[in-house]
Amino acid sequence: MNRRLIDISVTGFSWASGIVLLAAVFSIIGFLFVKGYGALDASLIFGDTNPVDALLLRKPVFDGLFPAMVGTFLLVVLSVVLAVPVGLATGIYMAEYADGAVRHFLGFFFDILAGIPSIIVGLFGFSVTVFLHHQFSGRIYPCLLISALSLAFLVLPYLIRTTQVAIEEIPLEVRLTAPALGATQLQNVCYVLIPRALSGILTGVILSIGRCAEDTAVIMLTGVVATTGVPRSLLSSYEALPFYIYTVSSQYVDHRELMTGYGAAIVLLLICASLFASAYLIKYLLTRQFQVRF
Amino acid sequence: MEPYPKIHIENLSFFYGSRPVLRDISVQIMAHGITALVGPSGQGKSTFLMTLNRLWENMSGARMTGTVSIRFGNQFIDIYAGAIPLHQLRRKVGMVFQAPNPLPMSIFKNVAFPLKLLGRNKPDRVEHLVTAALKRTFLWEEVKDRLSDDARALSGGQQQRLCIARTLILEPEVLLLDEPTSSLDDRAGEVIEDLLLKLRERCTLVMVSHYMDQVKRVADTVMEIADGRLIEKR
Repeated sequence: MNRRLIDISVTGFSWASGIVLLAAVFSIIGFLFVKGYGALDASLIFGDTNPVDALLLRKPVFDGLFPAMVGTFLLVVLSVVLAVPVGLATGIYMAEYADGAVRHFLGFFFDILAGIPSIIVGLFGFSVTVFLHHQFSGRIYPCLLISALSLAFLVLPYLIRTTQVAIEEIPLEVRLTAPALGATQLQNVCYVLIPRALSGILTGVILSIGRCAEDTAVIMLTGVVATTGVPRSLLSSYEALPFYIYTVSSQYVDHRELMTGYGAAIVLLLICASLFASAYLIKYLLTRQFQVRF
Repeated sequence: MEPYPKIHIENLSFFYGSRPVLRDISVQIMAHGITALVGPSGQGKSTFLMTLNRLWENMSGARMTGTVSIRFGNQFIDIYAGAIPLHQLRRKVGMVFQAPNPLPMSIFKNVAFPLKLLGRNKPDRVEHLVTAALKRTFLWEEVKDRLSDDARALSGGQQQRLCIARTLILEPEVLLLDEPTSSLDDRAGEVIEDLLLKLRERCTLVMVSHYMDQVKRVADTVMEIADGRLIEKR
């Protein structure tokens, strides 16, 4: 009787937790759409500028979200491009090459890194910028590249750990298949382990995309500004949607401005959704390709 | 042909951490025969197999003492003395695992996989060798019309024969089999047994088995590993 009661309680609690989480997600999305729906139009993104001129970068957009959307997109893509090769290589090293003591030490170090608050990472990025400015070139200021490097640093531990775990979870007999056929360790990694772990590895990449898109603390200290237009180079300052939402929500002067903040939040969600969709598509295509290609 | 020793093992001991698994084993295994290793579970039979192709080195926390020499051509080579590169050794000493482990690719590509590892990509040659390997494992007739299908869609017995074909494509001189029929039904097990009896002509087989009936049917030599020690029974 007791066991049955425990079974029912655990099952009920699991269901309730799932439903509460789903309800929270839909409440947030619903709240944003109800509040920001009215602000969603072309002028929210392009302001008074002709959309075609804005998209072709012929005219700057002063009172729309377009520069912040471009800035956010570039920031996320650049951060992920910088972080993924290093994260994957380190994760593979941890799973396949590092021996017990080194693996233990590095694992501890990466766990500490994962626990560092993002504002500290932002401060570190800012300090590096000041150092570079004084030591190497007076033209180096907080910019898109510094922000992307700082964000890449922030998401590296997630990428490393998801890659490591995805490879280590492969059953021993599968891990030994290629070595038993005379494969070198590199061949085993490339032909068997990475294709088998690809789904888990790409899940880490997708989580990193989300983390890069939402973080505000890091970029506040490393290059984002309220108004600067579309970034012209990696060393330019830039606008970003999380920072725009933060600024509007803390300093809005009228209802219309607050509405643009809700609108910006919806646009940020849509950008994240499209990046996730792209990542899932890549995951599907790569998984399929690895299964079919020889 | 006069029977001659293929594998010579002297004072082999094996440890996982500080726990001894194999203790001071010295034995000879004859060429072109089937040597069956029997004994209770967890006594080191699979570990013994992995000392013959150094596969245990891919696992952490293990160490070994003693010598293992295998006759390649006319001379015995100590496989731990660096006289034969590891990858070459594992191509000459193939291994088939307990559970079939086809890779997530087509039937054809699974069997051709070892050739890819070797860098042999000439399509005609690859096709010829894949066909020959599938025929040797009595699988050709069953799969010849669906070579591009996913290998994981085959039945358990077919998958195991595919794995044997994948190993045989490298023409190993020694074939290690770790309970090759334990995950198969009786009919599939019988097909594998027939295959092993045929393979004996071409290579030396060392097989772990829990089925005494099977051992009686196919083995030329039976050895028992118990408490880390090896006892030759027949």
